[in-house]
Amino acid sequence: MHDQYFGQFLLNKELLNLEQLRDILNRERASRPHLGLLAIDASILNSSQVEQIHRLQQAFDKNFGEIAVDKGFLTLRQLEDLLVVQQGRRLNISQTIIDSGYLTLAELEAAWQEYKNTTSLKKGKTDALYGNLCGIVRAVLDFSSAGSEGDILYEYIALFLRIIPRFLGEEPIIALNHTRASGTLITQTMRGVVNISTGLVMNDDLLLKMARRYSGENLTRVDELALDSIAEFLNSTNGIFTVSMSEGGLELDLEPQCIQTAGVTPVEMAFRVPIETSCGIIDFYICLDETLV
Amino acid sequence: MCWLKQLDVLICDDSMLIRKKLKDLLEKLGCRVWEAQNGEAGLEVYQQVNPQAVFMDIVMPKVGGLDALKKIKIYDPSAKVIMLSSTGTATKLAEAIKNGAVDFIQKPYEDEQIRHALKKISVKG
Repeated sequence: MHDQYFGQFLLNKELLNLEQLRDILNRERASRPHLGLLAIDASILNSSQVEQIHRLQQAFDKNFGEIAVDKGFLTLRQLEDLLVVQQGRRLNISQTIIDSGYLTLAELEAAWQEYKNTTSLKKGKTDALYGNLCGIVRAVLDFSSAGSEGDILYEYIALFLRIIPRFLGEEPIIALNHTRASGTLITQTMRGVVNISTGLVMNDDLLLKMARRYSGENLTRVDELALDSIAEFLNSTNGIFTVSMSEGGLELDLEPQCIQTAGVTPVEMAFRVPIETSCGIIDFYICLDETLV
Repeated sequence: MCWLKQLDVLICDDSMLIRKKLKDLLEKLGCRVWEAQNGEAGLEVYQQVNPQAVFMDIVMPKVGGLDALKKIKIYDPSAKVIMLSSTGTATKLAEAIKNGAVDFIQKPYEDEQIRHALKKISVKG
């Protein structure tokens, strides 16, 4: 997860382009040993516990280690040991960048220093905290026109980016300059003191791939079940967001999702956040106090 | 799982994916499964079938799950309704329990949670 943040930072600073960053993240992901597998190898967790943690990760905005400790499956010491082993086995993003020749050592060192300052990472604390992603999101996106309520939008996008790897198995990158995606618009609104409308657009190929991954079903075409799977993905994301907001005192009620008919596009005032995955672009739309269509 | 055999269970959820996955699981457990896509249809099916258990989503079109729960409990005060929702806030949980839900499971559920909820109902009779 940390690599994703640093990668996004390098993209924002135009030190890497989108293709280079995707290449780096793909290589890093391919080399990354999963914490759950490491714990099974070490006979600290069994497969049933790992599966339970994965399920809970899809219901709560917490990472694998946090849930394992919360459930009493791992002690903090065991988690720290596993993280050390994981870190030792994975390809480091910095190493991958140097190996690829995308940046020199001096360029990388300067970027890393700036990144640490931007995200308030302390010495030795390279495992990014959730707050850091919000910092990166703020550096990339501009919701200032939404006024003080824009903070909610930054929080939402940060949460959305954290959820994509868990639900869809992708390392998302905010790719601001990407052309608009075309396809079916799926929307859902949350109502409360503030109203937040959200929506997703992706082309049929990507929709089918993401629907397969989310549902675990053998989908072969964009039919009602595939569309419903993506709608349910949006619903689960918004469910986690409402729980998170509720814990902070903001109650939001979800409305049913809508699968819009072909050709329907979001309102002009909606913020568009293009999110690049290894399989294509997801256009995410969000706006306050208006429905998306 | 013989204690679940021939149990009539109603799934009330607007998501085709959730209905499909839950139905597959319940049928494997030996239940007879009935489906509804919203709270209004759920009440109608309930009145026809009188199932021993209901899995009820909260966010649905037409009539939502909490309103459907109230209506089902008026029709049948002994109804066993298990709320199944992605929006598991403390407020929603309290409202569901206050209105007579016997359990509240946050999506995505684990199969074991479903089995456990049905077992509780089955034991209570």
